[in-house]
Amino acid sequence: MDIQLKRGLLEVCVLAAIKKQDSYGYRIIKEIKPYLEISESTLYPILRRLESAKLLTVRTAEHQGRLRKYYRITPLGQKRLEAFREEWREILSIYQFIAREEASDDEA
Amino acid sequence: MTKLEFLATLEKALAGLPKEDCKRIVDYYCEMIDDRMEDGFSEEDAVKAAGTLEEIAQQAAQEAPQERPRRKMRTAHALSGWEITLLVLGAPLWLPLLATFAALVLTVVAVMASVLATAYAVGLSLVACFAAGVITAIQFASDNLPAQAAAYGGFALASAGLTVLAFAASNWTAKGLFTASKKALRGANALLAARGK
Repeated sequence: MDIQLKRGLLEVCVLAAIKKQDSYGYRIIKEIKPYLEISESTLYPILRRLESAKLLTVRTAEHQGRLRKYYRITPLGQKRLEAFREEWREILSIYQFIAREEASDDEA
Repeated sequence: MTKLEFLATLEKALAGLPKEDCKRIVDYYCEMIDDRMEDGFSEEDAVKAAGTLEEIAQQAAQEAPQERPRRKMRTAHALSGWEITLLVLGAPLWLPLLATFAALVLTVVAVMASVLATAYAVGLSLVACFAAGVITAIQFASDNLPAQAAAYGGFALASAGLTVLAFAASNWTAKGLFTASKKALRGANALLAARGK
């Protein structure tokens, strides 16, 4: 997949993973992995970007005697998710246009 | 590689970054490895899953430009002998120029201030007219002179209307002058920044 497209999708995926409840890095990776390849080193800059864009907030909490960072979606992050759903409709119609062009090419 | 070895190597590899960024990254990978081990991975596999040092350093470099201040400060440098000589020799030329420029700026500021003062003074005098009109009208009314009272009442109303217009115009002028000077300042700033590059 195109690297820019993947990066954009991963950002939305991370927001979706923390939409219902706060989550931590490893769980976010586990949730996204079945759909889109993601690793520890890819997740880190995404989390930083989302944090500096104020789409999520970070808090540190104790877990089994060590510290763990939990990520929470902000109202701005929720808005970004909604915007994605809107964009997705556009992308689908563009896809249909592309698919139609290809189908007519095949016929010719 | 054990977790501690990995984290120590990582810390060394990130030594070029600011301390805060370095610590944040090391903490992140420490948490990731701990979470994987808690999930049943062996320490070695958990460390492997964290990725290679190259990957991590590359990702860190990718986000680095965002965190650095956007504009680099120009480093001050000591004036060389030549520059000092030129400055001294050129004083008869640049001193009057500088003085003229300062006077010009001062004049512009003074003109802007007086325009504003005039505009608001007009507004204030209209307020006075309104008050005078109302008082005179009341006096005529109490003296049983309805025609004169009505005339002065009308005068007061007209003054009130003009007052509103005058203040609106003054505010509009003030705003205009403010934006214009802001733009001028920004322009001067951009000019200086362009020369500084």
